[in-house]
Amino acid sequence: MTFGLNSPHVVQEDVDNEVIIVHLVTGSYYSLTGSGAEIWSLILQGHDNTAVIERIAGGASADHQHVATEIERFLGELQAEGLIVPTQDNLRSIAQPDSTPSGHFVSPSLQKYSDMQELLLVDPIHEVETTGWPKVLTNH
Amino acid sequence: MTPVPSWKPNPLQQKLLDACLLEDAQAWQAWKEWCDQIDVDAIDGGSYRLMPLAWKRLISKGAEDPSGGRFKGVYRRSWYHNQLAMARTADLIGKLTAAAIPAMLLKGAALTVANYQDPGVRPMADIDVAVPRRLARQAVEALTQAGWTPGATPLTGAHNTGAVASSGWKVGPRPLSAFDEVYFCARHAHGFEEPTGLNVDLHWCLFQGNGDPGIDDEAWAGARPVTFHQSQVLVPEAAVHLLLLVAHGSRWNPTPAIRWIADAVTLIRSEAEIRWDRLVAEARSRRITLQTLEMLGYLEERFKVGVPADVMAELRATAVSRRERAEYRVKSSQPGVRLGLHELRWLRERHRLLRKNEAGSQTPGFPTFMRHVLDAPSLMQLGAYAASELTRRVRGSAQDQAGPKGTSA
Repeated sequence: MTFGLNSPHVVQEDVDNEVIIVHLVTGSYYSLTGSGAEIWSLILQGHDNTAVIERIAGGASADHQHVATEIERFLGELQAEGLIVPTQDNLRSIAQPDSTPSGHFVSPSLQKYSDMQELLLVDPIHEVETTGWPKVLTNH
Repeated sequence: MTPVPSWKPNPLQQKLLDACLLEDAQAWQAWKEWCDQIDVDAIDGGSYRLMPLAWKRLISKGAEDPSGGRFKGVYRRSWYHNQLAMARTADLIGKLTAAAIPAMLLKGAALTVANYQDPGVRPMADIDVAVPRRLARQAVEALTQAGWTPGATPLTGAHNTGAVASSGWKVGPRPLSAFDEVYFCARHAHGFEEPTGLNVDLHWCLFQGNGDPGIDDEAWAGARPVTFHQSQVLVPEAAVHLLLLVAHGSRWNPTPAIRWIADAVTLIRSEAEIRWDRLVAEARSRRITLQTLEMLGYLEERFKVGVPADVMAELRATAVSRRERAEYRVKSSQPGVRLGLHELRWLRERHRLLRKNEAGSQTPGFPTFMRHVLDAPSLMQLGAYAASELTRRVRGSAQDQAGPKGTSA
């Protein structure tokens, strides 16, 4: 199965190797951690889930079944949040990916920030952790 | 001694602008010097607003990050806010279009779409949307029907004098019924807020303080369509937009207005053509040639943006009245008594203009006109506010401060 961005309701950007995503209807902000950015990139390139698993698992030292389970879970999470939608286009499923695999698999996760008003009110210099907005200081 | 106009950066702000806008080697050197001197926790509001651009131009390319990662967060926040605000505004523009009301983006949103072409580099607190003056009332109705609430009528200094509150004047959303010809004649724009807290500034005059009948007609005729969230919207032609950046940037602001420099340089460099003759004509008709000459001169000297010498000569040769000269000096300086007098004189003229036209017989006397424009509950409370504001200005205590959140569009 192939997926595409749930456009125009969702926008995303690669910010210095970090994928950030906004669902424009709900106002939720997301960032991807672990191998999430690599998986996300492959999905948006049009590769089907099998090709994504092969691609990631093939280049990683981790157990193939573990990688497959984690990627399927991650894709389900992205779908449940309405960030990606199934598409009919699987033309890229047998094509070569545009990038080389990282060779290192870290379970992907989706970090969600859903309180839009707090996100917009927080001071991104003085009220955030050193990694910056949207990670708010715990004592804030 | 002539005061330094507020549009001019101080030496540290100049280093940051150099880092953002000069060629690579000079930019990196300026960035290094800025990082050596800056206290990230005490950064001024004007410099803060340049952080997303600095992050994109320098830090994301490997330059030193004195914030330890927080500047990247400022970029993320700007990208997030702008994406949401522009999407909501696109919905709103769709409703205006459906009601046959043309809409034009101004300043931040227009620059983001037409010039910066990156939703994160140019922070905005609100999105400026202009509609033709004759359709202002219909546009206000369309906004409120779409769920946008009018903000309070802006009152200079009211937030820090306590005068309004102490007189029992409860400042709240301007009532829909108060958006009438009198208000449209006296003001140039009004802010509206969505339930989520996103803001739009609805303009019925493109330039603040330029409300003469027909003055925006040529700017509307020259506006060009751009794609904005899968739909079409107008943005000003480059020459008019550049002049708007100059006019807006020349006015004193509690947040240092240095962002106009990054905006103007980016606009000039990214536009295929700028009709400089239009800029000169518009500057003359709006009586802002003095600041246009000084500010374009600064851009050319510092950033070599290619302002033609004959344009500078034409601006220099334009006769400037004493009033225009005085207004420029007053409006580009911290608000004081003289600015108050200029504001009062402007409102007096708007009042006279209203009385001259066909609706003149219904125009109230000046005190009631002022009460209506400022949305004051009574003449007595208006008087109390005016006296308090005058006292504050006489004492020179206009100490508005802006922190990192001061990011007006």
